[in-house]
Amino acid sequence: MAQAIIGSIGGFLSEAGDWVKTRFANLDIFDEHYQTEAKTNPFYALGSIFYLIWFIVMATGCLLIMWYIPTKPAAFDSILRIQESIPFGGIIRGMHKYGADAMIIAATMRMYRMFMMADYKPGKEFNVAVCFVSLLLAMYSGLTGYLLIWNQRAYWATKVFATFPTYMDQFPLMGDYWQPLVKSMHMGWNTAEALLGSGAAITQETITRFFSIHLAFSLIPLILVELYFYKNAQTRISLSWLKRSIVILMLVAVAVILPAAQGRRSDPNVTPLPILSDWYFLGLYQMYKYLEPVVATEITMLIPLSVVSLPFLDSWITGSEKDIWKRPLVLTISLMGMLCWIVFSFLIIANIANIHNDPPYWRLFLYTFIDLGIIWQLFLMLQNSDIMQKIRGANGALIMAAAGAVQTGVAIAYYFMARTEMFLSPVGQGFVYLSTKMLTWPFAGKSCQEAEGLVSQLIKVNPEYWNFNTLIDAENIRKMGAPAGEDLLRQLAHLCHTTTTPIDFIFQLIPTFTPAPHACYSGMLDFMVNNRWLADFIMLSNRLTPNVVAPYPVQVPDLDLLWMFAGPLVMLFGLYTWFSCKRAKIPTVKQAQVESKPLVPST
Amino acid sequence: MSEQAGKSRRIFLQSIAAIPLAATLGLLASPLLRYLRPTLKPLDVFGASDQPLAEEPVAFTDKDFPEPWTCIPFVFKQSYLEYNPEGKETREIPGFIVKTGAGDVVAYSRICPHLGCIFNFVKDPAECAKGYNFKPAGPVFACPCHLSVYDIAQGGKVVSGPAPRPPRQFTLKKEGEEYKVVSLEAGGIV
Repeated sequence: MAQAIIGSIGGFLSEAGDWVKTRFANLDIFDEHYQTEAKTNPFYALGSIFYLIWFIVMATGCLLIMWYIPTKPAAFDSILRIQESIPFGGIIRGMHKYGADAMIIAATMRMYRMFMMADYKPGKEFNVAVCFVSLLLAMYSGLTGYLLIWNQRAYWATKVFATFPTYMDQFPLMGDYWQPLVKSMHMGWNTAEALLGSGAAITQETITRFFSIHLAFSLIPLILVELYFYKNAQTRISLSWLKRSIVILMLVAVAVILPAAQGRRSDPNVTPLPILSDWYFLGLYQMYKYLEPVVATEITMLIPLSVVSLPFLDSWITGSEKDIWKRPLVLTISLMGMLCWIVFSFLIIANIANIHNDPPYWRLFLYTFIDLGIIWQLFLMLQNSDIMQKIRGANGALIMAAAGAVQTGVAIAYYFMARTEMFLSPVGQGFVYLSTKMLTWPFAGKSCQEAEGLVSQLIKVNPEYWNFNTLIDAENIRKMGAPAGEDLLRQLAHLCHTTTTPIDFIFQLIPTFTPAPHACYSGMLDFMVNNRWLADFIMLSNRLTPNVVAPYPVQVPDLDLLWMFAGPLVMLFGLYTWFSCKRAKIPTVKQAQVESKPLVPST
Repeated sequence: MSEQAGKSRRIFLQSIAAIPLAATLGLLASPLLRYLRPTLKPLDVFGASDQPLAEEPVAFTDKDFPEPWTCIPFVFKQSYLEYNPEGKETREIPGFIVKTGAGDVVAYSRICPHLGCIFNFVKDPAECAKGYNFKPAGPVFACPCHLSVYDIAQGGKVVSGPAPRPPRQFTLKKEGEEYKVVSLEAGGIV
């Protein structure tokens, strides 16, 4: 028996190992496997172009290092000198700057080519991740590079960039319950301080650190890629010298026609308006205007994840299909990403943002574009006359139905969030409390209602009364002397400790993370009161009932209703497609003779 | 025993053995985090941040505020940790000291708690409605970068925009006629 279990785990491990090994064997870093295609199709030369420009940027960087001074008082002036008095300094700096921009453009276009041409099929899904890492490294080198100029844009963009990881300390995980634990790890602050070099300020240390990272992140990957090509004996750059010269001349021409901008010397006391960064982060900056910073930070972390997982999703849904018109889901998702990025960038340059009216339009745009792709994809599946393909596609339909289900869930949560203007976690906690109350109604229903009454009375006594885990502690009440509403607090404490339900043991298992005032919860109600879940429920129900709290419930914008109803429709259509794909039968010879239309699935 | 089962078992045992090995190597690598931030204590990689220290206080008197909603910009000095010969770098934190409509005197850091821009004092609600697409009840602080609006009468409550919290407040000490700005609430990057 034990041997069978070990055998099956080992079997699974070796299978997973093979899966990973195949993908590593198929790795393609700079299109070195597409050299024949590259001769006729310039899109397959993008990897080579990226690599060529990398060398140019390294070479011009080595020249710039000779004149650049990485100190706070001298950095800006040394760039000025490179630009104006050193012979060819302006061209060298222009080629360095525009070369970096060109790398980002090349990597982005290369990624879009991968999605459009399905270059990640079959078994080459890691290549998208490799391309994305090259894009991220280029962006990060750009970010560390433009601080070195020490101008206004550099200073303020770095400040924004260093501030947003600090929001990691506020990620809402079960609200107040995990908050002390999440906060005590200081992950966000440590990230920001490790980035900036020292204390919470952009200082000389930051320039030094960014300068070293700027070098290391360009040089170390270059050495590794060189070694990889050397080991596999591959041609690195599949471009003729004529084509290479064209790329280099283009960079020189841009550097001459449009000298790289210098901007104004950085001034920590004056914020430039509009606050901008380098062009590739502008879309993100506009998103930061529209969203809560915690959500914006989460989405910033989610974008790379979704890009890397999209090829896997596509392989599950459409199998080995490579024609982009038969993979509309990938088409619409990648189009949606590009359109959002371009439009957001233009909006922030024009300094247009109505943070109260715009977000419904963006939500609608985002969801309908994805839904359009899903419906189109499902329609193609239903129309497919190849029965074998149809049966194989059933799981894909189920995945898309699941996407519709997720959208439905988001819509339901969004409905309550928009009506009450409460965040996701308090709404969720309110609902968990409500369902627990319903579950244990025969045992604790009455005391739950009593506790609700007490808590709403206490909030009226003092609006600062929310930290019940210390407030209702007998020791604490004694310390405070005679707090307002003392008898109410004592009654609440008594209720918490005396109410018993059959599911108390679950809550007794949960650690409190704060040994004082108590090491463990005495039961369900104690947990709900101490962690404010009960108070969340009161707030939720008060705001949902008309005429209790002043402006609530707020109307949900009409535009949002469209995507909110699209979710369930997509889910139902996905399920319908799944059923009809599942029920499609391979026609046997006998059936084919009996039925006049053998390819239509029998009912 | 088949060869396949033997191979599976080898892989299983290898994977099991890798866990303590990886943990050991991870622990050996943890001092590298202290290399990035030397003030971390050993075995405390998630330690608290290095907070800045307040320099000399800034003083105001009642005469500075002739009428309600007088707002005076000032600069408060704080020294931040740095590994230069002085061991610190003094930075100027821009601030606003305001006498509210109710007659209280309050002081706020002008560094927006959202993403660190410097915000403005907007006295006229009509001007706020025009520039920050929100019409407040009275004078507000408003950030031009991401359009957060803070109501001063409500203790800096965020009334519009993406900011997660009110602006950071200075501690004021009343000594006779004088209001002394002595320290700043922790947090924020300058």
